[in-house]
Amino acid sequence: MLYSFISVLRASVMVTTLRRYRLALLWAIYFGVLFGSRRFVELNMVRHMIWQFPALITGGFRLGKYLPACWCLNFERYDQLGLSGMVFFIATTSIWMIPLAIDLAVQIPFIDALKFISLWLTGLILSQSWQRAGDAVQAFFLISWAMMVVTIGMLYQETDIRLCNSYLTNEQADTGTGLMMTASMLVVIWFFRLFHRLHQQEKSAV
Amino acid sequence: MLRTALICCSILLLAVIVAAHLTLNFSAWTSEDVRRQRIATTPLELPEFDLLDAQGEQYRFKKNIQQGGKYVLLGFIYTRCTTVCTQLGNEFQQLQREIILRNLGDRVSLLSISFDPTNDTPLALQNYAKRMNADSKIWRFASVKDQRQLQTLLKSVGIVVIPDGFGGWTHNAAIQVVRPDGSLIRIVDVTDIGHALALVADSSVQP
Repeated sequence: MLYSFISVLRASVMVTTLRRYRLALLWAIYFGVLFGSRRFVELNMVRHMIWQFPALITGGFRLGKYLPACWCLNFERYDQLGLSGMVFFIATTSIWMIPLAIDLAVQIPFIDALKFISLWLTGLILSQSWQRAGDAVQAFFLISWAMMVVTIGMLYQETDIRLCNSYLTNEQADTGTGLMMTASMLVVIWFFRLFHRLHQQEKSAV
Repeated sequence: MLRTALICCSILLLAVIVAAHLTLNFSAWTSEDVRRQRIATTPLELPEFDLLDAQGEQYRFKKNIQQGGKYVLLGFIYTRCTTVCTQLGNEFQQLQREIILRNLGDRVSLLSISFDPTNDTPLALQNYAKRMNADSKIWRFASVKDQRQLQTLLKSVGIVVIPDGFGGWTHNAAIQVVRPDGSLIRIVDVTDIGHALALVADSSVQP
């Protein structure tokens, strides 16, 4: 609903200063809703990691489309081939998957706020970097990130000890499965889109 | 390209530094590990609080320990527990046996504190004690009536209680080793009774 709001806004007029403030208000609402629901969402590990984390990252990613073009160009010097953005993405997601970090986020609101901002920023930066990276660089980062997430997912599934004091072992196992599935799905979707695009290119070349 | 490379390196360096700081130099990946390591390096002064024991008597926790002059092995329970707490109960039964066997009764005592004061009345604690074959000279039970004091205690010791999905509770059970001066010096794994007793037995350090 929020996303259709934003796309309607975008489609109608160019981004003026007034619109930018309205956009900021919408993002304030987005953060407000996510932060306000944190107690409910973070009660369950699956909701926390499989729903909240992607919601934050894709939120940031969507905003990336509406950034002014001059910002994007300015950052290109620091983000050639999209490397910086992707390294930042991998670093941030790995840190927030450490069980200790999850526990801290659940128990301390300040750390949770840090988590929100960092994951959202990661999505935002990734939206720029992803376009700058060619297929090869995208493939490399996506596959290595997915392998890391699948490994972490397997660890969560197989370990006997309770990794997070805030969550039960069966939630932990379910989250592990969820992480593995999310990562594999993203890789599959990426490859599907790649083959689709190559197929279209072949067809138009013929 | 150089700028990008520099930025990537600094991001990675920052990530490594943050992770190292969080996980105590990559030694503790879970909050339970962090809790145990923190206590092992610096003893924690426990707060004072009021206990209501199984005989219905009220007393102050720290004052009682300091007067007794014995080490206290502290565990948290709730009497309707059928899961984790039975394991803790069994461990404490074994601890009691070992204490009697090794004649450590004058050096250490066991204390089980309930974090469910509404249901764990003195009578419930007594029944639980009987079920556990607890020797009241060695193993005592109590509950913390005041919710605020209970939360302060649980927070300072680092115990997180969550619902177990079956109408009960589960928590990060462990044996907390308390010095006679009322400070928490070590957190020992529930399965590691020998270590807990070794700490108490051969510490010739004066409290």
